[in-house]
Amino acid sequence: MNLKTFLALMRRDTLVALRDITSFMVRTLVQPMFLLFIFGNVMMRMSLVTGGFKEILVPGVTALTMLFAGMQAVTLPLVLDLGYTKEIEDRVLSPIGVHFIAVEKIVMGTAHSIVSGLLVLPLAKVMLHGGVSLNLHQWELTIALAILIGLVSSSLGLTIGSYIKPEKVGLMFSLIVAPIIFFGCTYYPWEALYRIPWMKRLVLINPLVYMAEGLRAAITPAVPHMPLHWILVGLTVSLILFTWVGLAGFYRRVID
Amino acid sequence: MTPILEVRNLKKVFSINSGRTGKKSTAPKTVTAVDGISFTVNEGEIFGLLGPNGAGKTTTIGILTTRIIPTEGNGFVAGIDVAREPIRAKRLIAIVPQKMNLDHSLKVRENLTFHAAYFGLPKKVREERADELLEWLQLKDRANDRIDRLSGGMTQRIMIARALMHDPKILFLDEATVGLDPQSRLMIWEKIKDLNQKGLSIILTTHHMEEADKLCHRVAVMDHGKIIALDTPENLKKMIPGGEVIEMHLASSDGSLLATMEAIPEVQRVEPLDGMVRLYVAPGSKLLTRLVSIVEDHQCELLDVRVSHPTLENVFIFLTGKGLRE
Repeated sequence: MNLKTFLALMRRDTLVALRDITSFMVRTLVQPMFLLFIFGNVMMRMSLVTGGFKEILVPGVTALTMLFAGMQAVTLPLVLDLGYTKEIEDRVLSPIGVHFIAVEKIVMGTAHSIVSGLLVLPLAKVMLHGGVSLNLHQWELTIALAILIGLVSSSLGLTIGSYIKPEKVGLMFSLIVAPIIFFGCTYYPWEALYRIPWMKRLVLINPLVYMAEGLRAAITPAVPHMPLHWILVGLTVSLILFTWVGLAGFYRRVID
Repeated sequence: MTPILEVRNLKKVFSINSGRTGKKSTAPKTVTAVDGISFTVNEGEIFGLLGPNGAGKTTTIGILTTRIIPTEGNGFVAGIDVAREPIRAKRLIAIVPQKMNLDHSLKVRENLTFHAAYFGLPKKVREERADELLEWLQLKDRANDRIDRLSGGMTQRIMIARALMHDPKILFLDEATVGLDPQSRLMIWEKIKDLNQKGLSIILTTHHMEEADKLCHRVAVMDHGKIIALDTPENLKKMIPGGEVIEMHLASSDGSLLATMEAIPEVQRVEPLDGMVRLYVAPGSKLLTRLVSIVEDHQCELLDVRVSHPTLENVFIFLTGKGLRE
């Protein structure tokens, strides 16, 4: 790999991201803010949900936010670049292996994802009725999981971005994004699905499940969660799969 | 002369998805975009690929700039096989593509400096070179503009500047002046000549015959993925029989009129076309009055007459029987 080229690509994406920082913050924070407010504050005061729900909700919403930040950072620019503006051609012609251009996208997406996670946690403290108690003692685990979640999110973004055509972006939200959110154990813990056995097994194909459960294991360990080793297996398998499929898809789109 | 580019038996077959027909796909459809072409370009040469849309020019450029993998054959840039060692090859080449692909997230000058950064050039060199090129292409006052505020001629010039940032050995220009106003086109022609005089080897594709004629040292005429002729513009034009072309636009014509024309010894070829007859005649044969009276004798109405010396367009028509822009 040509390190100078790789760093220049990262510098370009960092500059573009910093110029777009306001829109990034809005895109990243508005949805979790409302989710936390309605589920963790309004419904809490209505006594529609009980006190322990906040500890289920916060890791779930954080995982969801990280997933979308990582995905969006890669998918949206890529769909436009590959399908319409062809802006990426100049980078494809830089003296570096074509795959590394996609790897750089994954690295930048991971950074977006981690930053969004760091923004959501303090937001949760503020938005929730009566605050929330988060365990920050397992910081090594939390950092490792955050990196892994970021990598899975952005490699999923690469996979989607490499295969989807610009005119199908709307469809992507209905067919990919919505099922990921609702079958991702965002608002309920995976263990509690024992009442619906088929669903408990089915959701295992959803990478968000391992992200949400992973954060539960790290920052709200008192909530029943999936055993940590299965979480790590789930995230690692997702990462390998999406990176592999995404890199292959990217190569196919830029080289005929 | 040393060849800077060598193309050997290059072939590219694309498979086409037949779209959603609802049925299971039958045998995959294929299109042969480039069909076994070979040529060499010498160092310091301006080499043109002339042909209509779909002739395989852009695919050829795509292969030589590492973006398309050839089905067969090889392309060598300064001795480096572009398909085998794309990263080494990319350092030596630069392309100004047909479709605008400047980075909209960056400003004009940043498009140049980042391009150089991707090639590992130190900051000082990047900055200096960007300034020089912006000055040379009369874009200095646009350095901090956003890309979407620029005219077609300006984006074209910026893409040329960007291509030159890493000091390539070969510059590929793919239809570099398509859609530009005559003034912008002339400016780009001047800049291409300038660059060539400084020693840069240039390969350009065009379906603009004047462009090929004025700029290129040698021209390869392409059609249906094949090179059908390759020579200097002067020699290509000598292929036209006679050396003078007379085009007569007629309201009507008949076989006996054409036969009478063909019978004239100085007329070397008669091409009946839709509403027109094209005659290739010996130069200086002063046939015009005679031809006009023959038309009158046959009671055909003459609408327009044009006498011209052969252009590369005539060469193309002569070789393929069709125009460059249909």
